[in-house]
Amino acid sequence: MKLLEISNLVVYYSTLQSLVKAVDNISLEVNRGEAVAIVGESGSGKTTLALSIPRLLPDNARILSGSIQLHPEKIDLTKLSEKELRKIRGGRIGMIFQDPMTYLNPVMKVGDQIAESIVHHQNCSLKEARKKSIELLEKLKVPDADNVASRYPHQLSGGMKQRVMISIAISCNPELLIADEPTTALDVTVQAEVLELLKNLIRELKTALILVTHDLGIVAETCDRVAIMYAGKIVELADIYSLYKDPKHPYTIGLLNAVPTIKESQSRIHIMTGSIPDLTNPPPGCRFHPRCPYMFEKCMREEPPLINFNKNRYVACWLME
Amino acid sequence: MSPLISFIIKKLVQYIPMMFAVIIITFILVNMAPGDPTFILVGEVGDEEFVRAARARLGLDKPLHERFLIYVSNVLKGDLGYSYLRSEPVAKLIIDRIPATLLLVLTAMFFSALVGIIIGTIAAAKRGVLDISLSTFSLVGISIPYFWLGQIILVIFAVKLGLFPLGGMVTVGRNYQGIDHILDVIYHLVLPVMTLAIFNLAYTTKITRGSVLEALTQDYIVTARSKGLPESKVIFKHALRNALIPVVTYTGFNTGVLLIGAILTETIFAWPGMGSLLYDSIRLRDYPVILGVFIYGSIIIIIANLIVDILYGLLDPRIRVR
Amino acid sequence: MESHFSLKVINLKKYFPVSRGFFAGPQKYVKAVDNISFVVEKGGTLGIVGESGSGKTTLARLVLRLIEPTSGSVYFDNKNIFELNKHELRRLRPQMQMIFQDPMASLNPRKKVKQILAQVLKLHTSLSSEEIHERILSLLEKVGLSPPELFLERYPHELSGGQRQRVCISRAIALNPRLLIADEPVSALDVSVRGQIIKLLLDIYNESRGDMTYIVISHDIALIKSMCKNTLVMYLGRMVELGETDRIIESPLHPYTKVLISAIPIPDPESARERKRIPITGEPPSLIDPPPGCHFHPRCPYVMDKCRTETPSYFQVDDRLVSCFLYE
Repeated sequence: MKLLEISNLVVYYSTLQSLVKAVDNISLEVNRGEAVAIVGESGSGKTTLALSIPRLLPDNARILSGSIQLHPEKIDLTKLSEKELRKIRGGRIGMIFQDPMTYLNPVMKVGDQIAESIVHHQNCSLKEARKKSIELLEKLKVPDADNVASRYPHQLSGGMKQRVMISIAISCNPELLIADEPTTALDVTVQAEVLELLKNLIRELKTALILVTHDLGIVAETCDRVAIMYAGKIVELADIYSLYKDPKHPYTIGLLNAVPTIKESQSRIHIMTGSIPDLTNPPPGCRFHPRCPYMFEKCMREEPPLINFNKNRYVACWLME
Repeated sequence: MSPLISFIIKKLVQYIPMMFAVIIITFILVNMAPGDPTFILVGEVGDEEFVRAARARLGLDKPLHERFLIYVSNVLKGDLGYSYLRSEPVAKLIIDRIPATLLLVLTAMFFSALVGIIIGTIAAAKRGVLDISLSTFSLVGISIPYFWLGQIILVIFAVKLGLFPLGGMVTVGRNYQGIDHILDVIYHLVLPVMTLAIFNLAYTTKITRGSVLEALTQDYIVTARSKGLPESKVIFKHALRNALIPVVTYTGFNTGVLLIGAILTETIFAWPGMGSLLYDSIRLRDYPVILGVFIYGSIIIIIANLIVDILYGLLDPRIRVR
Repeated sequence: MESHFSLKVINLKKYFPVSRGFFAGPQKYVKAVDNISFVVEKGGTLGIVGESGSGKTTLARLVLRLIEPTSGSVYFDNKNIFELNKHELRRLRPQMQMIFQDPMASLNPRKKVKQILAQVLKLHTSLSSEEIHERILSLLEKVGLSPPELFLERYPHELSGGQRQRVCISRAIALNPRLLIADEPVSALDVSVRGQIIKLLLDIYNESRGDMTYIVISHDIALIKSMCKNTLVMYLGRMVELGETDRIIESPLHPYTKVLISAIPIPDPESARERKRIPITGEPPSLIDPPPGCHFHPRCPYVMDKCRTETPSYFQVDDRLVSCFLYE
C-alpha cells in the first residue's frame, strides 16, 4: 500500500552566483511500514530530497516542479498551504535530525520539547502531554525518564539527546518517519543501541521510515529498500538483498567497496578516483562518467534514464541497456 | 549556602578591586581637572590670608597623596565627606537624589527594552518594507545625541504644543497627594524618559533584530518547524528566548551609558536627580560631591551587572550557576 | 643513530584539572590518559581505537610532546622526549609528524599550497629556493596531486576535501619523518574519497621500507585493520586491550572490545541480520566522575563483584594484553 509518492521532483538552490540543482527529477515511492534508505555523499541531494517532503528547506531553496503525494488522500505536499502542512508536520510526518546537540533547543527542558509537539497536535493539556512525554522516553529505554524529562539538552549525553529527538518525532504516531543521518554524531556503541531502538520502534508502530545516510553499513541492518543518489540523481534503486549481493551501478559498486570493513582483508579496498562534482556545473551526460571505470563514449553525451530492468530494480547506467 | 547566594558573593568579591580602581581613577581625574574650588568659594580676588584659611578648612593644603589616603580611609568608613558648597554631607545629598534618577533611568530602561525587543523581533520575523523602515528608525535613533534630541523634544512638545511641562518633577506650588501626586510625576516624566529612551530603544531594536535573525538560522528552529508549530510560536518561543541573551548583555552594559545620558537629560529638563547634581557640582568644582556621585554611580552599575549575570542563568541553563 | 629505533611509552599519564566553583570541594581531574604503556618496533604500525572521550587524541599529543604529561615517559630513539630541552626537541620535531582529522582547520587559509610546503622546508632544511621548489613539486606528485604545477598557487579553500588532506600529508612527509601519527585521517572526508587517502597512506608506508613507524588513531576499527598490524583499544583514558589487529577483531577478549566489534555495522544485510549483538546498557560515563574499579563495569555484561571496586591490571593471553578480571 502506497504512502508517499514523489514524482519528478526538482529542487534548486539559488546562491548569489548560480543555481544549484540539488534534486534533479527524482521519483520515489514509499509504502506503508516500509523502510527506505536514501544513500549518498555530501552534495548528492539526499538531505534536500528528505527535507522537501515536509517542506523544511532553507529559504534559498525552491521546489521547481514535480509533486509529493501523501496517500491515501493523494494530498500534494508541494502545493499545500502552510497552515494545512503544519498539521502534517509533526503529526503524520516526524523528523529526526543528525546532530541532537544543535537540533534541540538549548534553553528548553527536553520534556517540554517533547510535550510541545503533543499539545500542538493532540489537543491535550500540558500536564497530560508531560506525562505522555515521560512514557515516550521510557519506551525508548531512557533510564530515570522522569528526571531526564526535566533536564536541559546539554546535561544529557549524545545518545540520550537522540532518544529525545526520536521521542519528539514519534510523539504523535506518525505514518512516516524521516531520519537524516540519525546516528552520524554518535559513538559506535551508542549508534548500535539507537539503531536497534529505531528498528523496533518502526516495526511496533508500523511507521514507514526514510533513512538518509552516507553509511551503507547501517542501511544493511535497518532498511528494506535503498536508493543510491549521486549529484542530484537516483542512480540505483533496489531491495536491500539484491543491492548488496549484486550491485549494478558502478558508483554503487564503488561505494560498497570504498571503505574498509572488518570482514575483509586489506587488499580489497577499492579506490574510487576523482571527487564529487560541483553541482553548479555538473558534468554532461552521466554525472558519474568522469569517475567511472567503465565509461564509454555515450556516457559523456547522454544522460542515462533510471530504467527498470527486473522486478524492483532500477539502474541509471548505459551498461544496463 | 544556596548556589545563588554563593554566586552573588563570588561576584561581589570580584567587584572589590574594581571599586578601588574606580575610586583611584576618579580621584586623580577630578583633581587633575583645571580650576580650584577655593576661588569659586571666596571669589577670584579674595584676600590671600582668607584663601589660605579656606584651603586649610577644606583640607586642600595637604599634598595630593595625603588627601587621597584620607579620602579613601573615610570612604571605607562610609564617610564621603562634606560638600564644599552646600554644607551638607555628600551621602545625604546623593541619597536624596537617587530615587529621582532611578525612576528616570529604570523607566527608560524598562520601556526601551520592552518596546525594543518587540519591534526588533517583528522586524526580524517580517522582513521586507516593515523591516527596512524599522531598521532605518533604529539607525536614526542611534545617531541622535541626547542633548540635541532633548532640546528638540522640549521645544516641540512643551514649548510649541504645550502638551507637557517644561521641566521639574512635580508641578510647583500644588501639593498633590496620593494618586494625584503619582499622576503629576508621570506627567513630568514623559519627556525626559522619551529623550533618554530613544537611543536605548533604537539600539535594543537593532540588537534584537540581529539576534533573532541569527537564532532563526539555528538547527533547533528546523526542529520546531518540523513539529508543525505556527511561525509565531517558532519565533517567540524558540528563537526569541535564545536571542534574548545578547540583548540582556547589552542592557546590562548600557546602564552606564544610560546614567551618563541621565546627566544631560536631567540638566535639560531640570529633573532633580543625581545627574543634575553632578552637573552643578562639576561646574562649581565641588570635588567631594563629584567623587561621591561617581562612587554611587559605579555601585548602581555593579548592581546592574549582577542582575544581568543572574538573568543569564535564568535565560540560559548552560551557564546556570553550578 | 639508526641502530635500534622504537617508540616506547611507559606509564604515561595526563590529568587535566577541572575548573571548579568558588566554594567547590577538592580539585578534580579528568584522567584523559591514565597509565598507558606500549612499544612500537621500528617500522611497525599501531592503531589506537576508542570512542569519543577515550583519550586517544590526548595520547597522540603526548607522544609528540605537543602537551606535557602529568607523569610517565616516551622514548623515541632511546631518548626520553620529555627530558629534551627546547633545542633538542626542535631538532627532533621533523622526525615526528602528525596528520589531523580536519584538513581545512590544519591548513592556514591565507597561504598558498606552495607557501605551506615551503615554510616547513625552509624551517628545517638548508635547501636553496630552487631545491625547495623541486622538492615541493615531487612531494605533490607523490601525494597524487598531479600535475603539481596546477596546485602550487591554490589556496586551501580552492581544493576539495580529499585534495586538502593530500596537502596535509605532503607537508607531514616533507621532512622524511620516522614517526607519522594520523588522527582520524579520513573521518572528515566523503566515503568515495576515503579509499584514495587510505591507499596513499599505505603507499607512503610501504615505500619507506621499514623506516617509518605509523600510528593511526580512529574510532573506526575497520580503518585500523586496513592500516595497522597491532591495535590498542582505549576506554575512558585506560588501555583495555592490546594485540594484533586481526586477532582482536576475530576474537576480542575484553568485554568492551567485544561490544565495540559487535556494534560495527556490516554492509551486508544477510550477515548483519544474523549477527548476534552483545547487548550493552547505559551510556558512556562522564570523564570527570568515572566509575570506580574497572571503568567499563556499569555497562559490562560479564560484570563481577570485584570489577566494581578493583582496577584490573594487565593479563597476558597468548600474545595479547587485556585489562579484565575474566582473564586473571
